[in-house]
Amino acid sequence: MSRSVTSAAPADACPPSKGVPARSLSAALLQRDLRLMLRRRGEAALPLGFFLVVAGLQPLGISPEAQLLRQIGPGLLWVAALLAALLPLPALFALDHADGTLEQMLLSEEPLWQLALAKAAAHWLGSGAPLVLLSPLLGLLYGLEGEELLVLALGLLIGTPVLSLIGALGAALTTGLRSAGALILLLVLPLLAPVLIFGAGAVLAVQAGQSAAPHLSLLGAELILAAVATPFLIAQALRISLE
Amino acid sequence: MTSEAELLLRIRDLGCERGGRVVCRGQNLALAVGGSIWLRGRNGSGKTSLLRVLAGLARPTGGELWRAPRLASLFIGHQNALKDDLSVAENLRFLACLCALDDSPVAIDQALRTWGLWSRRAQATRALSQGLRRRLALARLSLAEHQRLWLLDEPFDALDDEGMATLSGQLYAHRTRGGGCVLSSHLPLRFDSLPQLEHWLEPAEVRA
Repeated sequence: MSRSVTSAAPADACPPSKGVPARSLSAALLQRDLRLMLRRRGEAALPLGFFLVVAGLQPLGISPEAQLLRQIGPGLLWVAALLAALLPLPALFALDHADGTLEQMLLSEEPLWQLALAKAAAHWLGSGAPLVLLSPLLGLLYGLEGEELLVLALGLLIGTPVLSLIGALGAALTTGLRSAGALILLLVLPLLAPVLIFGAGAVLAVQAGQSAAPHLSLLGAELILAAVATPFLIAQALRISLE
Repeated sequence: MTSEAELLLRIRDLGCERGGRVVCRGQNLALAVGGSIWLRGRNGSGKTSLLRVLAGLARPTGGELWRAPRLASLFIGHQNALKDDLSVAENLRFLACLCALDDSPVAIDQALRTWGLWSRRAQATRALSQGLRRRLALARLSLAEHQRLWLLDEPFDALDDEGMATLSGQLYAHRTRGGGCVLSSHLPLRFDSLPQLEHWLEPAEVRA
């Protein structure tokens, strides 16, 4: 009975907010992260630089023998890509956590898993995508050719988003902890072993004259699994870290 | 006793904790439409923890928390949530989007003018002083007309006289249009004609 005519405002006390922003928050978040990367180009280029240097130095340390390089090339390139993708992870949520953006994200009306997905997408665009584009060049360095290069790039195209998604989960779980960097490595690297195996395996299969399809399909399956499961897990991990 | 229709927020016998330690308990509060609650208390008495519970960032340890149905709220904590590498205008625009506020260019421009940040709109935020950063974080209030509950943690921190006057003006306007606010502050607040509820928090008796 209290909600009668007592005053004009109360009953409809809370109009569904009218000044709702036109664009979605996850799009805005992705845009912001990319803009921040552009403003700090040196930092943003670190993963790519790391990938190039590591992949470029290995032949010098191991052996210039062409046959050997061709054999170990796919594995080395994948390991380099894996480590490069892990570089920017400690900062992924830590900066937003430190300056209070993360708690505003938790309060936002948009589901947290969508925001988590946007963060992982930004991470991939900053670390995974450039590696995919440059991998054929490095493949040449190891004497890979033709279809092998294509499969290497294709494998990275499917596999690096998995690195970003699982990596983001590791970053979320360690948000707010000291020495998060080392912890992320410990948490994430074992989970990423299958990606490494199937990614490098695809190229090796082509070298052995077999089809790369089974390996790539398994990579694809992992990507689907990661894309479905991790956003919710990341959201949950972030909630826990802020409590 | 105010009827429920005129309330934005009510807590009964509420307790809150920080880092696993109870910092306050047995809190009773009711925020009416157009009302304002000034949380007071010594350092460590749980003002921030209580505000975080009210915002929904932390769970209460006990008691009851009631918010008006479909109540949109805006929480501005100690931290300003600004990015050094973005410009002043970019920061405000993103914050507006983040908090589901009006982020149309017209509204953003107006908010920047209100808070005296217009001339710096294209500057990188890293060049701002602490007081200006606080102003930029608070400029969200000018966009938050539809968020009827404002929860502000030490909003007057680092503000100069002009900034405090702007903030007081925003709070006044918010209350007269039927919004309510809960804020913590060490400085006395002046609302010329509107009543102001003071709520003192006593440190909870906790044996370590």
